[in-house]
Amino acid sequence: MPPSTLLQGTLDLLILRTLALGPLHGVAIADRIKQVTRGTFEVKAGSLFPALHRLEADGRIRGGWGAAPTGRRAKLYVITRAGRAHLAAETKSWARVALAIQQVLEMS
Amino acid sequence: MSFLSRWRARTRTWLRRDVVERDLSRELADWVDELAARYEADGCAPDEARRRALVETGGVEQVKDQVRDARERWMLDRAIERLRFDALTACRSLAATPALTAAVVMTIASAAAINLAMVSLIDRALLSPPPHVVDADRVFTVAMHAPGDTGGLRTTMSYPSFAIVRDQVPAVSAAAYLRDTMSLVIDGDQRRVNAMAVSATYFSLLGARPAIGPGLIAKNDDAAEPAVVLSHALWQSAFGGDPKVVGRRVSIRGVDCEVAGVMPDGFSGHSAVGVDLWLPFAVAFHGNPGWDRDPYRNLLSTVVRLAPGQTLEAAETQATRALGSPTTFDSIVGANVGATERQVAWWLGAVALLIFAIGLANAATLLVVRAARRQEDIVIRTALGASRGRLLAQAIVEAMLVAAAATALALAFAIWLDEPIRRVLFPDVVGRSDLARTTLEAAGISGALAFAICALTAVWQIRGSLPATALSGAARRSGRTRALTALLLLQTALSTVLLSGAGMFGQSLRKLAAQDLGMRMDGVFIVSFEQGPGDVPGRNEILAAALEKVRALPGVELASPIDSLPFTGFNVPPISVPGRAEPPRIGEQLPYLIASTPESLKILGIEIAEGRTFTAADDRGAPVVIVNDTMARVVWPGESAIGKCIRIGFDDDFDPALSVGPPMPSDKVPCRQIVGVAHDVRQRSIVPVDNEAHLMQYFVPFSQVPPPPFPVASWPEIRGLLLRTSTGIETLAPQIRRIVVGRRADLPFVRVAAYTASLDRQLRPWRLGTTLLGLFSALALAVAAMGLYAAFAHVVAERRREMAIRIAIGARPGGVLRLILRESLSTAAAGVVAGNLAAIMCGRWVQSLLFETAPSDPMVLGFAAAVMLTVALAATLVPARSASHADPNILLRV
Repeated sequence: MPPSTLLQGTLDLLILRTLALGPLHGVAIADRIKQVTRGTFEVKAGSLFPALHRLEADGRIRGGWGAAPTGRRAKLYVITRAGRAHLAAETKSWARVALAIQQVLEMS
Repeated sequence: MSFLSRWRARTRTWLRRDVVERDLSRELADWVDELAARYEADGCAPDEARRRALVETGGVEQVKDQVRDARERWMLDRAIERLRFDALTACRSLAATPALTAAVVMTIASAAAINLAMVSLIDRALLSPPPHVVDADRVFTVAMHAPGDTGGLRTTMSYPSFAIVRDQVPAVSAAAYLRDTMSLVIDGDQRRVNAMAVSATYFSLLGARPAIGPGLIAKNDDAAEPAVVLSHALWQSAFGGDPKVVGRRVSIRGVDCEVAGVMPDGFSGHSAVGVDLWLPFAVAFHGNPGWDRDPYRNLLSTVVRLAPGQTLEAAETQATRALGSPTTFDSIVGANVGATERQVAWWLGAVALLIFAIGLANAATLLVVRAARRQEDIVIRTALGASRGRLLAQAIVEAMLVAAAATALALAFAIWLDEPIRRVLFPDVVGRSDLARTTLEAAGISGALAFAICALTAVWQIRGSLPATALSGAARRSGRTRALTALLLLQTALSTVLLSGAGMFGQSLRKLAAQDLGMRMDGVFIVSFEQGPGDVPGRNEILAAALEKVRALPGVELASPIDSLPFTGFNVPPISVPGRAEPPRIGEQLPYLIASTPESLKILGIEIAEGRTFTAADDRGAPVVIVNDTMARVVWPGESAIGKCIRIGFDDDFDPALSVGPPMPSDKVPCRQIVGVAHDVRQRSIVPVDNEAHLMQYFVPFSQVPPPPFPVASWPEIRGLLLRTSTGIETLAPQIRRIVVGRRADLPFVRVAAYTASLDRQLRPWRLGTTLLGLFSALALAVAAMGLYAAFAHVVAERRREMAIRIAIGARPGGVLRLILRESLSTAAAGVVAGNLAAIMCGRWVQSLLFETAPSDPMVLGFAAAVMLTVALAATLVPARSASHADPNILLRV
């Protein structure tokens, strides 16, 4: 299956979910998303960085300089308490929407 | 300090922006490095690995741009979100005090409305070029000055003189016009119109084109097509805005004309004075041959337009040379508006501005009261963490909402006020057709001022409510109260001055109208032809024939032919008294002749003091006369005038060319016997100055009036019909008009007017003063009432604790009520005294306009004081009652 385009707002959710497991830097976030979705979503720098900065401005993640697992210097992102709350709320509503859409699609 | 801190804050954001940019660059560099490292690990050469990494990233600079875009969009979204929140909070906050919010809006709106209406009127009548005139600053009216230093000024000229300006002054193009009231006959019914006869060049000179139809397209003035052009207003009122009006036939001055067009809405020719209809000279002067050749018929006014590249001075010089007398060109802006109206308009404009200033001050006071009520809200929000900036933002949004609502309302008020003020102040100026830009600009300015006042009051209030400045509030309070008291004094005094002024004019008007003029004017009507150029051919026969039919109309009690009555005209023939060398005179004034019938004396209710009145038999009987009291007393002092005789009229062989001095009838003229003495009737002046109340008059039977010393078509002349009716004239007037006009289309408009209307011109200054000062004083009162209410609501709000303590220690609510009312009334009383004193002083300027009324008239001043104090009482009753119910519990809470 070729990589599909991201629904707007979905990327935010994926980033938050990824960071919920621990602090990561940009490349690692992109890798993790690709890995978890088995290559369905391939995140480009042009989508990832604006999303990261928007989330940071909203106070849902916080960035700081540290070391990547490779030992390189990198900007690491951490999910904040507001980010976790947002993730929880969005996950709940996503589940509802996904269920509803699935029901509609399976109707015929 | 505040400047420095602001500067520092700004530099910090700049620095932060730097940090953000640097971070982003580094982060992206790291990202590319890491991708490149992976490609290298996969076996790529370092250069190739780097290239691939960059391709996969999609260009570092592009990503940076995308991040910047995202940040900006985020900031914009947040700003909109904040504004929405502020607006919502502001609306909620305003709605929390609905009465006070409405009061603030209404105060500003009413104070602004009168200003906008005045701006609209003054702009239209005095300051703006008339609408639909192209390059109006190059169009001028023409005035000719008498040679020498006599100061004589002529604004009219003959057609040949106009032709000289048109043809021999190359620096200008010229057009001529003549205003007149005419009778327009539409489907057989007469309609009175303000007509303007124009030369063929008039519309092209102004650059104005009809909205419908071709317009007047004549080439020559003497051979113009019989056609008329309608104003937009006449098209609406007389033709119901019929789009197919062009080509319809109407009749004017006896000429059958085609409607050739309708001018655009608001067009009134070269001046702001309204015109209903335009027609060519050839139609207007129909039946008056020679109008375009006679150099002595100085009837026409001229307008000129400067040719491109020509200066005013050069054109004036050329015109002076061509006409042979000093000629000046004057701007058409404000042309044809009287000097008195001009002055009154500016004065009222100044008063309106003062009312606006006071209205804004009152709005500020109301806002302070409102803020005091909202104090708890502000404290709670501050405690919950709202920053000062958020509170200020909300206050500014609130101020914007209030100012916008007030300005919209003011515009609506102004549109409504415009017409009544125009009718009183500039009755001739064309009505408003649309909102002028100047009015909207003025609305913008007043809105901005209202916003500034509201915002400043709010900011001041929020600063005052913050802990640091709260302590110094007490110190400032006394200063604020003094300013408030001064403001209250000023507005109560202004209201009192305006009220006194209205009272003075009203009292003068009442006393003028209540005078005994020696005759009855109510229920009396005059039927006459509106004057056109020249006489109405066959007028005597038309009116004589109409008289019998009018008399037979149900509702007409009495009818009589008349010549000239007091206040409508005069007839002063030569007079002599046997045995006296000089004619009787008071000052230089000879006695007035009033042509009468038994009916006319009865209609006017003229009282006979001695002797008898006229009878039908006098028409064909011996020459008789009735003199008035003054004449009897002056001519025959100490004895009865009955049985004496006087001679009136010209000798048969009188020749004006040979006579020396004032003519006196010789004993060849029969001596007419005095059969009665009537009480004096006011002859010409509504104000009985000098001898005006006691001029000599005598009454002569209509058929016996002596003829003038030149041949006339028919004698005696009937100039009109005098009626007394028992029903309203509205239903009778069209019937009478139909009777008089019959099927003819060439007659001037038949006026059916109340006799009292002949006093209108003389009464105008008093009516103007009473109406306008009445209107302005009502507005000033409304504003002052709001101010008093606001101020005392403020006082009560500030002294709530004191009131509660008073009640807690046993004061009766009534006592508290009285306390507040006493304070309010003493302030108002001080304002009333100041206002009365000012009125007495200002009254001196208008003393000459007052009739039997002194500026210190106790009735007038008492009336003004009573109205002002009543309003003050009513305005403070509400806050006073709320104070008297102050709950002692608040002592525990606050």
